[in-house]
Amino acid sequence: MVVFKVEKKADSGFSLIQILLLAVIPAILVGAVIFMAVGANPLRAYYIMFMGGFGDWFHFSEVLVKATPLIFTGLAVALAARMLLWNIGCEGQLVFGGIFASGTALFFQSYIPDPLMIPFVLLSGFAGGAVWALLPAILKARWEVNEIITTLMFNYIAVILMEHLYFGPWRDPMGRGFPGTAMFNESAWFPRFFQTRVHLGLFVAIAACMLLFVILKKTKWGYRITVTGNSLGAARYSGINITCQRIAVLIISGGLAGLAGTSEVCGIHLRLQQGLAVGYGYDGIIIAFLAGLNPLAVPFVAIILGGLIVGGDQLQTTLHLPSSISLVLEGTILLAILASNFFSLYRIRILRRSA
Amino acid sequence: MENSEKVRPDSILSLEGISKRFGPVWANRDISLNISQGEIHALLGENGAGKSTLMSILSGRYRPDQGGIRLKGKAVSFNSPAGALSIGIGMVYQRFMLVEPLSVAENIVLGCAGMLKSLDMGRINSEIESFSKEYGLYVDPGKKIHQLSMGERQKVEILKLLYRRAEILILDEPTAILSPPEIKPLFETLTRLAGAGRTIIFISHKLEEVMSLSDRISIMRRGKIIATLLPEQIRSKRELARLMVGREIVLKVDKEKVPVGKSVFAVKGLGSGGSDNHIPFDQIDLEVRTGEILAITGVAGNGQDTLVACLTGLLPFKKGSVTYKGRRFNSLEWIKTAKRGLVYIPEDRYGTASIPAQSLVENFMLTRVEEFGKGPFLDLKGARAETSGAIDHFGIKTPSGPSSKARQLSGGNLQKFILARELGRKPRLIIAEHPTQGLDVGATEEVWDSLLRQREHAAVILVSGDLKEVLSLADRIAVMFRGKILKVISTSDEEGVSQVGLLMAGVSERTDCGSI
Repeated sequence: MVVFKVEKKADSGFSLIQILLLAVIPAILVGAVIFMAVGANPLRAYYIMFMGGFGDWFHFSEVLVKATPLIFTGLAVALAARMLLWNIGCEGQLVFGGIFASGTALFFQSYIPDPLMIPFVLLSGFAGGAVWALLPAILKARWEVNEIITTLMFNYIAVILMEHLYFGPWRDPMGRGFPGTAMFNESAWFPRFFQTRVHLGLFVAIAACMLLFVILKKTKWGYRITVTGNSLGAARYSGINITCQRIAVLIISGGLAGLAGTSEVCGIHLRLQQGLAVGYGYDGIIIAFLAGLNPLAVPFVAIILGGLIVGGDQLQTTLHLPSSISLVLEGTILLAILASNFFSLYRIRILRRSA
Repeated sequence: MENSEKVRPDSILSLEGISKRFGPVWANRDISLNISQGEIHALLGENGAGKSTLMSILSGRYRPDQGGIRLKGKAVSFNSPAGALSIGIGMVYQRFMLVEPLSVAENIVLGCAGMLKSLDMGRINSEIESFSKEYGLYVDPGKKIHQLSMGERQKVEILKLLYRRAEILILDEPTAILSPPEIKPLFETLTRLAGAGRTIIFISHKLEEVMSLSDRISIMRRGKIIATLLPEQIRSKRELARLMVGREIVLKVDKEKVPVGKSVFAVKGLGSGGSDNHIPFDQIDLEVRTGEILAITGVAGNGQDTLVACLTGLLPFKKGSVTYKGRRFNSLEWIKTAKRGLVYIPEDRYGTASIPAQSLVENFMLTRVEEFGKGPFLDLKGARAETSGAIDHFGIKTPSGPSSKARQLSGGNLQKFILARELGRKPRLIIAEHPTQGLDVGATEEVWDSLLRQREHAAVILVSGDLKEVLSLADRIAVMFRGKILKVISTSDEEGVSQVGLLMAGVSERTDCGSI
């Protein structure tokens, strides 16, 4: 008779090889089964996806465009999770960042000199996300209200509020019924590079990753965040004001997600319109955990996920498969990570015992 | 002293030569005890006398190294609490084992649902209610645990055991968490249970309870049962207390005289107010001066924990004031000041004083982060150098120097590390809480030495239930009982020192007059 025993490991950890072995490869195998189920050759499908994302510079530039908001939201989730706060509300904060940035671009262009427009748009986008995270942050910090629920609920409110704006008061009068605001003045457009759609947002996102890395590793404040995340008891003992830390971290997290919305409206759409809330906020959760909450790993993971999305679109045009198949792959990867997380904490020992 | 311990024909449970060792320490040594059916048997002893270990063996949590257990004359062995329960021995722990979001009834059937034919909550409820009525244990089966008071939760724990047909009920300090009005109904329940043929064993520190409730009393000291008595054999509480504490030979450490300086810290009329989660204290007046160690001692659960939390600014106090370095503070001001001003060495080394998953360098910065680096930036090199220095200076054994994780250190080495960090802050006031708990003799001595050396520039408050530690280190001893300081005794007053054990048990000269 074979007896299994689940034991807690002495040392818990997550190495890159483990993630690859336990999460990515099983996900690819499950994906292959799905491809076969819809009647496609999995090898050909994966080849098309890969070439669609990384085959040439043009396709890769589109991956970078997709990765830009994902870096921001991934970073937002990772920062909060380092303090054991679960910011599921990046989607709503992204939308609010978009709303604030659009408001600034649309209604303050006559007050702000052109060269200062982009800094102002960035600031207001950050502020928008931060504002949207503020109430859940206060509820959590003061009364221990579960932030998973509040931030999630706030997503729906934000989306409906945005729809109200572009269907109602902010709608472009010349737009012939198109749900969206008027196009921003050119001063609010993010500069684009290399004759592609790669825009300023990507560089701001990467700079944010590096800045956050430095803050977490090299500053006293970063040290306090780490301590609070590792042990509330020790944090309280050492005199850290946990209430303030939680509020600060959650609003910065919200602000980063707000920048994702800003870079979408000012870098790609150039107006506030339908199609801003397409799930980048939720993708951020996957990215943060795949990156092991390390800010420097976030851009790479975001590019991989961006490749998955862009490659998924190629499946649609080439193989006439539904592009949502990339969502299925995404979900499979997340589930595989959750499962592999179990193996990073526990080991299964096979005990043999004669009955 | 007469010993009423003889093998009774009707004994339901016999312990035969039970011994249990933890490392070099014998927690239980050759314990034999017979308990008869329907008896209420009290187990009395100081902290660390071995009561909890013995009961953990009886309830299946530990296995004895030597010796055996007989139930109704038959040798039994089990290796889990479930195993013990299946033959009728159940325990109510001090920390309740209840699932808070579930209802009373759900908690009661939890773990034995497999034995039921169906999960008919209606029948289960009525069964619980019949138990409730029979033994005066009324709790609404539909209520959730988190809605219940501590006393009601205890009832649920007892019901859980009754529901599982436990014949022998062990209660670990059942009154410690109860408010005075809840104690009497508990005693009535226990008496009724015993009347119905169930056997009760309960652990206690409290002499009055033991005297009023039990049929027989066993007194433990240093891992052994030194006497088993009938209540009528005991002439006074004082005698019982003396048996419990013993006449310990105090190992004096080399304690040089240090001139006593100015008053550093004083509290006046301090009171905690009522709260569900903390044992309250009231009317606390204390003062401590440079060059002096003031010990606060008492049996666990008499409000010391709450007092320390208020003194160190982790909890607000409701009444009174604190004076530190000549300045008076109210509760709010003190919460802000305490964290910067004083040094606190908490009881919980792994969960509070250190971060187990982080390196020693990061742990070294826990209370001293402002010392390392200017402005917002951290000086990690400087912190590493200081950490290495402290490791060498205090002789701390680590697997890989400053990069070792805190959880890799043994209890003694971690405590030395925490002392190195805290004492390096050149404090004027130190509050050390059970600083040598769980440490071996060598580490204990080193910790004592470091604390004694601090007297040159600091005032020290030592909170400890270990009488040997208190008598070795302190200049004055404040004995705490039921949230109040009964007396402050100078260690040079030999007559006074001999009373400390009695005071810890709540016996003061005024109330004790030879009879009960």
